[in-house]
Amino acid sequence: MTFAFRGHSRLIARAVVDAMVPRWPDFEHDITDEVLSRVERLIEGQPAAVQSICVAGLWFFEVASFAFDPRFASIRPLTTVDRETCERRLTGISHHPVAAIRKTILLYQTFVNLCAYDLPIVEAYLGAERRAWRKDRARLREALVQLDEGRALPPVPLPLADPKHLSPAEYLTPGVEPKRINASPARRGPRLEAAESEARPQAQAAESTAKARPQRKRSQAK
Amino acid sequence: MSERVVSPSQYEGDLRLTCDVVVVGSGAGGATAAATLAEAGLDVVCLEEGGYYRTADYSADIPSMLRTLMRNGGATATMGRAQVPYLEGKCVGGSTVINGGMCWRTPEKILHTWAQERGLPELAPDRLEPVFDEVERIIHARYQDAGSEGENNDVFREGATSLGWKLSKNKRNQVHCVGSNDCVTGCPSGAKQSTIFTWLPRFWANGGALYTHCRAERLVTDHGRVTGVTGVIADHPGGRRFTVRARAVVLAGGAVQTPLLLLRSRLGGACGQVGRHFTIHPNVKVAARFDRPVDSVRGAHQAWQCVEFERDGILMAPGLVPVAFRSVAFNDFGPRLAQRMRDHGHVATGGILVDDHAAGRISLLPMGIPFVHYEVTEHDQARFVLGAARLAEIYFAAGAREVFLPFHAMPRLRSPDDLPKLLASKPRPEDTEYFTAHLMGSCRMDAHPRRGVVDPDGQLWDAPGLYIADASIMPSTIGVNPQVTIMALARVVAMKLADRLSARAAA
Repeated sequence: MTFAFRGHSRLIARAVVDAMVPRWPDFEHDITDEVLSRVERLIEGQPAAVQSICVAGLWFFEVASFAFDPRFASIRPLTTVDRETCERRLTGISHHPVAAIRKTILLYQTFVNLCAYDLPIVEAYLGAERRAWRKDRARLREALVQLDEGRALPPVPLPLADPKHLSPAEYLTPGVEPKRINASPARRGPRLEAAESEARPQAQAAESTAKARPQRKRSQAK
Repeated sequence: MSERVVSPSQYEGDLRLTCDVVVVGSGAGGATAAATLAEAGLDVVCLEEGGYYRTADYSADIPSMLRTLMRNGGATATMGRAQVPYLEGKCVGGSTVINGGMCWRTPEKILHTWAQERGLPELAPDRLEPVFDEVERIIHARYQDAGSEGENNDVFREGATSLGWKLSKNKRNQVHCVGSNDCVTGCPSGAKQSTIFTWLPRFWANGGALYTHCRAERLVTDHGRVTGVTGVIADHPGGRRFTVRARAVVLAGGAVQTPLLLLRSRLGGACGQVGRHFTIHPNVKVAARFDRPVDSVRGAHQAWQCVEFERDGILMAPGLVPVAFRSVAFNDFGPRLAQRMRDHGHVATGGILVDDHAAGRISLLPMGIPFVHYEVTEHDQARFVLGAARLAEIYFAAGAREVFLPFHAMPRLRSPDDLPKLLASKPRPEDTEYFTAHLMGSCRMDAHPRRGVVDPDGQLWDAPGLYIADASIMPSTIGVNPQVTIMALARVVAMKLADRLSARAAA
């Protein structure tokens, strides 16, 4: 079942997210709506009771957050104040000495931070280009697994990589290529049972087998 | 070998099966038990509540992966004075898909305690050693490739070394972990050897079939003997149900879901122990800012542990996680957090794990609502404070400028001179941010039917035909990452069950 904030709850949620998303002077993107949408998807994955608590929490922020503003500037609802005031009020809740009050905002704080700092534009701004790194590493590992096909492998718990293939100093360098050495068939050793390059074609074959014969060997009760 | 994974879209209507053994769960315990039983020639069905996702399915979108791979999107927590968030895998492979891949054998002193105080001589160190050997070989419990650890591990090692504190190199179930730093949302390179790459291929190769999206609701009994399991087909419309009848049922849903299933089925209640003695190895996170760069993207999650204070039940370790998870560690938001995150390339992160003495409880509230209760004890809290101080010492010794703590009353240390203040501050559990993924001991094994839920064979004392092979049967907390212990116990339970069923068939 899909979940979305509706009516006034959506306005409150947007105000909360808007106050919580990161901003830097030289970061020009407004990520509030995208983060809000991602937060909704996370809440969608929660049980119905938790979804209700999330909405109830928003209304607590709307009507009661004025009490947590250290400047106590206004008693207006959260959705009617500017972002700075909103942020001050929510910070007041987040840093309140009473744990039970702090906890009211913890779930939103966690969800918003996860959804915001995971965005590719935020990661790129911070210089943490995780997506490119993941691709680079998948390629490197594939190359290392292929090299293992031609050599005797050390028993557990010894590490697998041979420094002659890939120098430790270069291991975490983007774009590094392992060197192919001593790959003569005469030195072939035990293959890795779990090497994914080996398992992938079997997975495709298995999928078609499973579709065709989902209950081989056991009886389907009437 | 063929992967026999059956999803609800591959059959119509309700699912009804009969087999020798049905295993509920496909994680560290379930997959190990299923493979062991199938290798013994038994007809085994494995049920998994979540879906089947492989390396190509693990995207870089963290919120999406949280929803896909974890129960409640990873937003589950124990209740008590302090809420402790915990993670449960809900996918084929269970929590082995989302863990950090640490491979530690159960400490010998713990095994001696189990053998002597719980009457479980078969769990003595010398008896379990060959099982550990086999488990580690099958799951590829190896040290990292040289050079793959990364700077987050390096600063931790440097700090501990300069203090002269004892370090231990981690074995992890990995084949060429290349430092992708995305363990928690599914290894993107396929290096981590979750049960999808280890036990389940053995299970499939021996004729086993795995059914996804099967949420077990109740156990089926016949004249006091457990003869099957029934439940709903999850995440698919139409209110479809499944029922699997078997000569034996093995539960491996983990230390939270297994007792809940027993309670819903009103089984195991005679001893009054179901759901009790629940331990969680709470841990807390610490972050440290350095002048020099500390790469926060590249490297392994955890290649070392500091075991200097192991006798006090405190383990410290670096913990490299993606930037989005780091943002949660600072317990802040908005511009202040943005300012700190701008320095993420100079920040190291680590954690403290305590072998807890608390005993939580899992129960069912009216209308069948699960309730997971846990209170951090004063004794454990004191060790968290001590552990945080020691970890801060490590980072200061490595050159940190400031250290961020998980304590509300004292969130930051600016120099080693602040350490006495931290130790004197005595932060309360409710003012501490914890986290855990190590859930254990809610259906513990014991040689006496009044003290435990399952007997030394893993069978329920008062429900013949029903076995448990997951973290819930651990007789006590173990103080180290639990996946190898879970697999070893599951292997032992499954081997005994296979012998029993085979002997019965022969007779």
